[in-house]
Amino acid sequence: MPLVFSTGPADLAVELELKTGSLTGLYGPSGSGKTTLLRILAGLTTPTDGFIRHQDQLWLDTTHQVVLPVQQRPVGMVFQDAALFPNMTVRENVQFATGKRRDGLVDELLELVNLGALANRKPDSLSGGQRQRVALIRALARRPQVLLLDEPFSALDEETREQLLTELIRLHRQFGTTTILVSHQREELSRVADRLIKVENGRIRERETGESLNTALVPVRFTGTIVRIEDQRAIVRLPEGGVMQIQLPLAASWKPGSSVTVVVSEPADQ
Amino acid sequence: MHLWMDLDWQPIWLTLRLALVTTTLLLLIGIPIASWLAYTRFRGKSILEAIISLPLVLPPSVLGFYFLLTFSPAHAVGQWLAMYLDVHLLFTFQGLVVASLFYSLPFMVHPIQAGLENLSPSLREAAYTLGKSRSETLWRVLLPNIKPALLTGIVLSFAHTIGEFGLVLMIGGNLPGQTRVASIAIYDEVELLRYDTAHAYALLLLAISFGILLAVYSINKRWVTF
Amino acid sequence: MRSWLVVVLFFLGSHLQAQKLRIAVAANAQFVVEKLQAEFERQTRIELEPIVNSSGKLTAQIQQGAPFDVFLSADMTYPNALYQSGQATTKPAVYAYGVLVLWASKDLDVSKGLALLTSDQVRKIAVANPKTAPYGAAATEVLTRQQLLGKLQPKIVYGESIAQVNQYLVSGAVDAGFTAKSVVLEPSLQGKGNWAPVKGAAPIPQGVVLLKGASANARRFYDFLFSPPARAIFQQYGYQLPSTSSTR
Repeated sequence: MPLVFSTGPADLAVELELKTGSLTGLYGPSGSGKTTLLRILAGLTTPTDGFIRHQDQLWLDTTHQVVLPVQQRPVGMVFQDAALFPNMTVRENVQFATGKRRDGLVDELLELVNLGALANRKPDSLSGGQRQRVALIRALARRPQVLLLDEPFSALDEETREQLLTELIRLHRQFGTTTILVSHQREELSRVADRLIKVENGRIRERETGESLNTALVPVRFTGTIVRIEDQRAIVRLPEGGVMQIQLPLAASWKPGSSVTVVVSEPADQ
Repeated sequence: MHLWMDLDWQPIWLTLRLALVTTTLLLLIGIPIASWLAYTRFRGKSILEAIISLPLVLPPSVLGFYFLLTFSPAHAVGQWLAMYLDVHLLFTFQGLVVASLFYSLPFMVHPIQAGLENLSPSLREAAYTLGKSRSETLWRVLLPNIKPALLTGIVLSFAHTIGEFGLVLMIGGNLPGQTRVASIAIYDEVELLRYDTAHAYALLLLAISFGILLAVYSINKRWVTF
Repeated sequence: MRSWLVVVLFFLGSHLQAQKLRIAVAANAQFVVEKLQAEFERQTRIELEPIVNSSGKLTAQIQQGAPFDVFLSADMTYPNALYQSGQATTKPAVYAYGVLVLWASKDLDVSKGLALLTSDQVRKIAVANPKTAPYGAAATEVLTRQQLLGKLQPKIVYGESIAQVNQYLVSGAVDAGFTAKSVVLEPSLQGKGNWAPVKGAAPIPQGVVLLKGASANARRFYDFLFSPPARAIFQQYGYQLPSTSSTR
């Protein structure tokens, strides 16, 4: 699944390609833009400039005003707080995704994560780990093409995190969904991911698991408004939320409040 | 006992009818407005919010005065309504309903808007990622999770409408069975120095209002806790 | 010591200001009172503060202790009630006779009299609440006598006082209404509609009383009402005058 963040007609297009069925880990410090990337993929946020193509389906092409709404993208998403609907039972939460059916699909799904016994409980009576298991299975219920996980285990204790990671791997193998997992902990990602990508200051630095540092720096373009300038750094706010820091080039005449499009690129080898 | 037997209950029924009709309509109108305000950002949003909140600070007689002028059959709007839709908004029950909708709108919109804004945004987003439209998400996910806010909106609107006076005084015309609501009736009886009757109406209103509030808050306990 | 001084001064000060006379005025006389006020203040330098409402409401307020000095009612019943209960210190005297008129919007023909009201062109008729406003009572009384009340009832809307009836008329909310001649003669309301005295309605004696606890200057205003300059003003506003020999 080629994922391209375009830098415009005059610039080089960047390809970030994800193999179908792969599990990619995105990590980086807070504010680096990894959540924003996920949200852009999901369609919850629309960047000023962007291009996303999934197999033959165009999800986003700002130059042609193509924006596929989130509801129509075959994605599933797991949020940090699980986002289970408090007014529905566990079963109803999953059923919300699958729709009313008589074929017992919902029960099957619940069994997959060993939550059959809790089917009639409400989310607030579940533990954090149990909630995320429901969230996982709910996100997978419609067999999405892409599964996005936004720091799903950060709020959980060590032991539960381990368990859930194992569950995730298991489900990933079983469903074969292309998965992107965001976390701020690289170590945990390296356990599960086929590939690791570091996002830092809005830049993507790619790194293969198990290989030595391969600094193939990839240019990325973001457009936002400068909030303030500190030392040699500009703090830029992206239009749909999220902040990132940009290293000022020398002799820049940027001022707070001005809109800026940043294309950051560095040589491929150092 | 004579007093209660002879008491004309019409103003009480009329008041309850007005409050019920108004509150129901406000629920239908207020939910879309509140949801729009909670989730949309656009230029001039604060102007709209200020307009909706006006009845909170405007004296009811001001509202009534402008209503009187606007819907008078001698002026443009009132004339048009009368001619093309045979709708008369002065001195009629329908007129009171329409006026009450304006008068009590912020009491329905504000609690619901606040309730929606206080929901975790991930709930809404999760529903979208599950392929649900905005309206399905609103009705199946968001509103069921702000029941206290909905209840507050309902109770406030209902109570506010029961207490309407200045507005009705301006555009009601004091017509029994149509616009002579309990607050007006009490006022009349006091003016006529018929304090017994005034007491009777006032006590009745008090008891009914209290009863409704009590019922609503008890239901709230059972209905709201999931 | 100082705080005492302040307190005393405060009370002295407010007493000095209490010289404004509070006149309770029935709505029919709201315009004529403005002229009377101008003349009285010119003559005596005593300031007036008129409060306009329907006779019934004012009576109720006075009975509950509202601090008025003089009460100009639209009839005799309310002042009599106050005299009976001791809130009035003088026996009600007629200061003028009011005339009930039918007022209708410009394109209607008031010369037809009450019969006009039955026409389809008249959708709404404003009447002051007969329970608290004497002109409203007079209107319903004459309609009943002419056997028109039943037929016209669906068209009738009630105003809290003549003042609200006037409001409904001026804003065009109603097509016709019963009000006082003293209102339709007010210069600022000229040309707003047509009017004619209601045949069959006797002139309404308007009573005035001095109220309990009235200030010393109140008596001067009371006497002024029967003086030639005041009578001339009443006449200007269409009131019929009591004979000068009527007691006060």
